Amino acid sequence: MASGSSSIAIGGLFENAEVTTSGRPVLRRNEVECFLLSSIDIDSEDDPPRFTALRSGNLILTTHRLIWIPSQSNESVPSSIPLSAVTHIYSHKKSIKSMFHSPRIRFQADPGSIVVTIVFRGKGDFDGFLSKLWECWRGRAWEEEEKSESETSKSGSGTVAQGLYGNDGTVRMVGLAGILRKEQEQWESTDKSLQDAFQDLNALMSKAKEMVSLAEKMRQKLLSAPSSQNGSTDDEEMGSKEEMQQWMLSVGIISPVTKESAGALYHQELSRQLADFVRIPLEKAGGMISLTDMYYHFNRARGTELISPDDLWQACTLWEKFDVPVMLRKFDSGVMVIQNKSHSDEEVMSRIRMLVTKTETLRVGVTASDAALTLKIAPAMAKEHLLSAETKGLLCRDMSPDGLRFYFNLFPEIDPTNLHIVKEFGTYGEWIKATSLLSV
Amino acid sequence: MCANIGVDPLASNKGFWAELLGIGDFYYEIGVQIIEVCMLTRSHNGGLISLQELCNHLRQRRKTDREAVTEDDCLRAISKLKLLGSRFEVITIGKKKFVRSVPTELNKDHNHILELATRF
Repeated sequence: MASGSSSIAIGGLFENAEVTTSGRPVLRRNEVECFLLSSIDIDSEDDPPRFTALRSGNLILTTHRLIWIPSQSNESVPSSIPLSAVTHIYSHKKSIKSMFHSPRIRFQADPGSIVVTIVFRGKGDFDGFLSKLWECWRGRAWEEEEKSESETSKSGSGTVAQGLYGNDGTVRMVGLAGILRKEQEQWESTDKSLQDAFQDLNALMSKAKEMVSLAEKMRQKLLSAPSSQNGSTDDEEMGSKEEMQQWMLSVGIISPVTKESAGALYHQELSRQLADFVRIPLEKAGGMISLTDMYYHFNRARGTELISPDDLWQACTLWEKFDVPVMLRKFDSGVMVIQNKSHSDEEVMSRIRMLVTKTETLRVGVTASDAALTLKIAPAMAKEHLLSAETKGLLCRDMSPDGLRFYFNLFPEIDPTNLHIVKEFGTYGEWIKATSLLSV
Repeated sequence: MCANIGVDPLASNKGFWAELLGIGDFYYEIGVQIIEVCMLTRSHNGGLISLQELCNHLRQRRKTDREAVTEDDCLRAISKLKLLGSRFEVITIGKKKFVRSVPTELNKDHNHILELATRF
């Protein structure tokens, strides 16, 4: 296999695996995560060992690779073995000896027929892993990809058959009969693929791509027939809603972490995936997003594998343990938000300070909605920021029938020994200028 | 794929256990859809929507569903969402129930005004 020779790491067997900042593997195109186990060692069976053993990490089985990620980010690097390099999986022998030491799986891999042993140090569904490994190895997902690639290149450069015979040697149909027959064939194949797809769920999964293109075609046909459904779509609002929903459903997660695949590590892995996912919505929301909105975005992206609010909350609280660029923050009022670590309070505070020391705002103060406009965040978030600025002593509040307004805190500039002196400098001086403008 | 066919993937039926214990995907689904409805209608109503209207929106969204979504289902789903910070809350104004989706405290005056407004 080509992928074996391109490896760079230890023993020619392992490839370096890319991981995200939060420690989740970067999956390739069409690659789906299948199983995850913790506390795994990878050993060499041969004597002397053909590669340095990998100790205590998480092992992730995908349709294309076995990925090993160290549980602590020490000197060992995340590595992966392409399943295409595996030549033989030894069956698991049940003996008295095997009952006493930790369960292990052995397989042989190219190049050089290295025998690799996976040792399970922790608890986990060992048998489930073995059967999944067999399934993925037999599934040969990587070959399908190669096939489809070669097919597309073939069809791209394919020569147009001339004469009475087609490329495959059958008699070409010409004229009206040919068109009709072609149409008929197309219908038949569509019908067949539909039937195949709905036979069972596994088949549906493998047919999903075709189904998507088919669905798109049907939709286009529906849309191009304007008279068929004028009842619901003429409403402009309806259209925008649909668009929004489409956009929501379009940012999907291809391989969501589920309880089934991750087992005991469910919350940890969920937490990592969430940290990776949160980046884009967070950027769009201006560095801070409320937990409820995130719950919505995340579940929409997952499609049917929903998580509960409780799971989301737990996943967020786990972020403290990992080295991820986002954090959960709870405001005093009970509102919980997700924010970038780089989105620091100091920056927000300095922007609020800029806002409240303008001549205009020195006189009339700011409301939450003013701050929201300046900081380009939601009014509710702006209010939280203003309140925390007040706690820090930057602002003073004025509660009036007009609502809650905030002013710059001038008290620190007043000299307690000489209360009535009028200062001509500093923010105090500016404030006097601003308010005297009003009285003139 | 689901979006292309025009099917919302979140449209399963509630089971016996789901109703009894308030767990299961059914209530998570409704929860997600409630957030969606509230986000979409926020520009019209400022984050305050009557429970009845919310239910109507949900029913429209889940029209293939055999059982219609009841107000009780909404209340349960919202109580689940409370865990994510106090964003969603059900308040009673006059005789009607409202769902508030923005974190603001409504004081007595607000409530009184809203109560008067619901009469017309």
